[in-house]
Amino acid sequence: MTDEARPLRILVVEDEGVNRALLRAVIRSATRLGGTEIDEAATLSDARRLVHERAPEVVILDVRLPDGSGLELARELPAPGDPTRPHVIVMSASVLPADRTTALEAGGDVFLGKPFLPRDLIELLEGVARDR
Amino acid sequence: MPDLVLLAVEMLFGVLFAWALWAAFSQRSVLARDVTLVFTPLAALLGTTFVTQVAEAIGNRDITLPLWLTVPTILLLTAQPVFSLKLIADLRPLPRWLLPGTLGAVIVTGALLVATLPEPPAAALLAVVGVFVAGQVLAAGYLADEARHRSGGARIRLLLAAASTAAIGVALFVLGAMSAAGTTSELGSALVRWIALAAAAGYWIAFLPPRWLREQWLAGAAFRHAERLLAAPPSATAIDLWNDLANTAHDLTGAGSVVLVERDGGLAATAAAGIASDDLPTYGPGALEALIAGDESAPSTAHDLRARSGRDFLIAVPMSRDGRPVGAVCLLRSHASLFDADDAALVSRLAARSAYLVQRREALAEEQRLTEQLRLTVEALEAAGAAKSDFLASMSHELRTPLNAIIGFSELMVADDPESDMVTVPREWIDHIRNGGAHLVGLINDVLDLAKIEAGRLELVRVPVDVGLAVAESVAGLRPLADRKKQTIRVSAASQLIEADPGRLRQILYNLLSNAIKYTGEGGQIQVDAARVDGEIQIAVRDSGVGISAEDQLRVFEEFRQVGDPTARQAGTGLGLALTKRLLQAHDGRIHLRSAPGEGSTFTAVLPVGRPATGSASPAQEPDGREPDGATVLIIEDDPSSVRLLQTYLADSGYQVAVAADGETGLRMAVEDPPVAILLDILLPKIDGWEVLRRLKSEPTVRDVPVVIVTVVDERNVGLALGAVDYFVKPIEREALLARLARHTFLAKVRTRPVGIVAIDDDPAALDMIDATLSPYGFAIHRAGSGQLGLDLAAAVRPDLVICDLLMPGLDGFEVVRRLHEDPATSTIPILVLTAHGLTEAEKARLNGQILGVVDKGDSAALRLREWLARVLPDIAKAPVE
Repeated sequence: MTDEARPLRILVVEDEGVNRALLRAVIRSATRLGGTEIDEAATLSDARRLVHERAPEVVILDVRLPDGSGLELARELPAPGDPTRPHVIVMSASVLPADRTTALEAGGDVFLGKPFLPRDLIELLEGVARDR
Repeated sequence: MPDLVLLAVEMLFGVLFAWALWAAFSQRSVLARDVTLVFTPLAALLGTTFVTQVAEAIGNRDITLPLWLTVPTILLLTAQPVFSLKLIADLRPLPRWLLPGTLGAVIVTGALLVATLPEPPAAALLAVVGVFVAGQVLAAGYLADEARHRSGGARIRLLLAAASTAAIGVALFVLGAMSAAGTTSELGSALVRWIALAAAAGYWIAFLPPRWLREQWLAGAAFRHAERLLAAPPSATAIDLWNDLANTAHDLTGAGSVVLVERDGGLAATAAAGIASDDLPTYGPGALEALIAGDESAPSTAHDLRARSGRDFLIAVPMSRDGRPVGAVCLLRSHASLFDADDAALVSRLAARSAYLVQRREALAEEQRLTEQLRLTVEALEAAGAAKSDFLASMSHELRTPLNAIIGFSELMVADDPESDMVTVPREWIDHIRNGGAHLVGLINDVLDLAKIEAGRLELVRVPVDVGLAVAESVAGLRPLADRKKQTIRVSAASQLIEADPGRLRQILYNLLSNAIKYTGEGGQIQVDAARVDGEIQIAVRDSGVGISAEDQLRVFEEFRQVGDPTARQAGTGLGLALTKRLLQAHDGRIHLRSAPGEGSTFTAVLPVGRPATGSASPAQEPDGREPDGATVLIIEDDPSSVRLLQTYLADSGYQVAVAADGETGLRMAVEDPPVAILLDILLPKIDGWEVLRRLKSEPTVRDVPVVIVTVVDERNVGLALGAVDYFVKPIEREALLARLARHTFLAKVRTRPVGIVAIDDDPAALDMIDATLSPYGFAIHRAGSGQLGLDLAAAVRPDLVICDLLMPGLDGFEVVRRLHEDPATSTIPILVLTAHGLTEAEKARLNGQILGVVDKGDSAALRLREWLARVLPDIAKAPVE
């Protein structure tokens, strides 16, 4: 099985059910990604567990989570350069410049403000899939 | 040469003493006289010595003064101890026997001396000297003892007086010893003269000190006081400073009690020493002036202070600020004082210092207060700024969250097949978009409401509202939500009228209830209780949900706060409770929260009952509670007895009555001030009633005013054909006339202004139907969920119409109709019965004459109601006002 054929493992960390449904629908609509495996976590603790168990390649990370900030998880991930480090897309409805800076400093690779355009996320995911 | 100096000094003292004598006697005070008496023997002695010396110098030989001059001088001199003790008796208590005893001894020894003159035996001389010296020593001792209790200038003066008194004793003792020894030495007599001079100087300083010396003593004492004051801790209050002044005055003046009174409305004791200030009363206006002026007219403050302190002597030292007297320091003594003037000057100076310091403290305190206020203001502004930023950030976040779903899913729909006009998408996506939109609208409404409240632009339309009904409606509206979570909602809310904005009350109830449902799990319990407690309505919404921790209980009312276990976060704007709290506050109400994690929460909204609680006339109306101004009925009738009868009927029902005795006048009056109805007679002078009716109906401004013909002419059909709404043939039945008139004026009113309707039904759905049917026509519908409430509401709002169901728990419709009819306040209100219940003949009979009509409730009640409306109000029913 080649890399191309292997599904992209994505972890969606988002507490709002509607947003998880949206992300699921957006990712599934990205046909050019090939296969994807989507794991979902509504809390930080679930997200931590899934990062270990599933070693996702992309983490789509909400910031305001019930049991903490998604950025905590971003800080705990392996340092950049480490091949096991997933690509981190921080998504938040808090979109002040300070919020963006904090997200990127915490280890986010990209900041995507809510509401987001599905095609922006799809392009990001396609880029990750291409580069791996 | 020394003789000459001595002579000059003696002369000086002689002059001074003579002056002092005169000055003292001119004061007419016992004390001044007693002081003068102490001086007298010395003045006499120095005077005679001076005369002798001068005579000897002129005659250049020894001169023996004649006995008539020496004997009184000697007697006066021997009386010196008596004078000294007499003065001391003024200043302090002495043994009772002492003064008469000394006086007796002096008289006896003096008589002995005089009797044996010119060559008294040594024994007589010794007796005189012995009594004298003993007396002087006693007097000196008492003066010295008195000095011990005083300080500053007073002590120096008393010690000087004591020393001088003792010195005079010593001088006489030397003189007596020389006489007894029969020797006269130059040295001895010079010594005596010097001692006498020193004593004179001592007395002079003690009792008549020169101004500069007094100033010196005053300055010293005042300086020490000022130093103490300045060293007072910064925490010392004005009262502390005044107490310090009282204590200092107490110490320095030796006054037994010191009371500091200040003008503060009346005259109140602010500080005291040697007496408890707490027990002192506040004296009335004018007391200060009387006190300072020494006005003793009863009831005087001075008198009261003396009585309370048990001390007989009082001096009031005025304190002033900006030239106006503001208080006084009262020195109270058991005995007279020698130094009142000095004490007053000293206390006045000390008081001025204290007052200055108090003022400075006050100014500093004020400055500190202002600084603190400024600091708080700045902090509040900073907090407000921060809160505003927080709010905006939260607002942005909250708006973006539902937008995320709306934009995301709609983008997906478009992307699904960009080319096609029709797309097929999962149903779920549409639901998400719709929910997001609904959420946004709710959020925006809440924010707008909050903004309105913040800006003070929330306008509450407060009308009588039935809390029980409002609760029932809210519960009914939200029950589907609770059913979905298999929750049970129990309601215990009796009908109770309060004055509130119905829409806002519903919003409050909706927020509390929907929160309870949201934060309570499947199968949970929700209990809503509304009850009147202490003149307020408490609506408690209790749930068996997650509960709220103590630390979160305050924060739940903040904007954009969802607290508690975040995994249980629920959809919501985060504004509901903040808004609920503000809405309650706008109603002069409040909200309480009692909760513990895991034990559920109870939110209690407390609302004032407001005016409807009185259950009687609403204040907007006339005190007699009947028709408001302007509900005038015009009577056109020429027969005075008929007019009187109609007037009585109408006035009893609260109408204003205007009377015209002929048709022309009636027409003019009707046009000038259109009445709500016209009672028209047919047989009138000049133009008859038919003509009046015809002209009324052709006059556009009064064409719609209902005309009721009241006449003996039985031409009913003609009257109705000409446009009269009703026709009564005399004699008129009062009840029938009033009932018809009420109906006609009601119809007239509908045409001119919004009409209030009280709808009484125990079924909220029926009330909704009435509301929905009639509101579009501009009627104001007041809803009552029970018969009793309907009666209260009708009495409170005086509606133009009551719509009443017949079958109700508690008071049924028949009873409501009967009571409305019997209560003079509501007897003229027309009633429409709305019922699903077919009326029996007996029931019809019960209602007969009391109601306007019956509308069948059935399935198409709204239609039937509209039909009825069209029948009675053809113009209006055509055009709903939205």
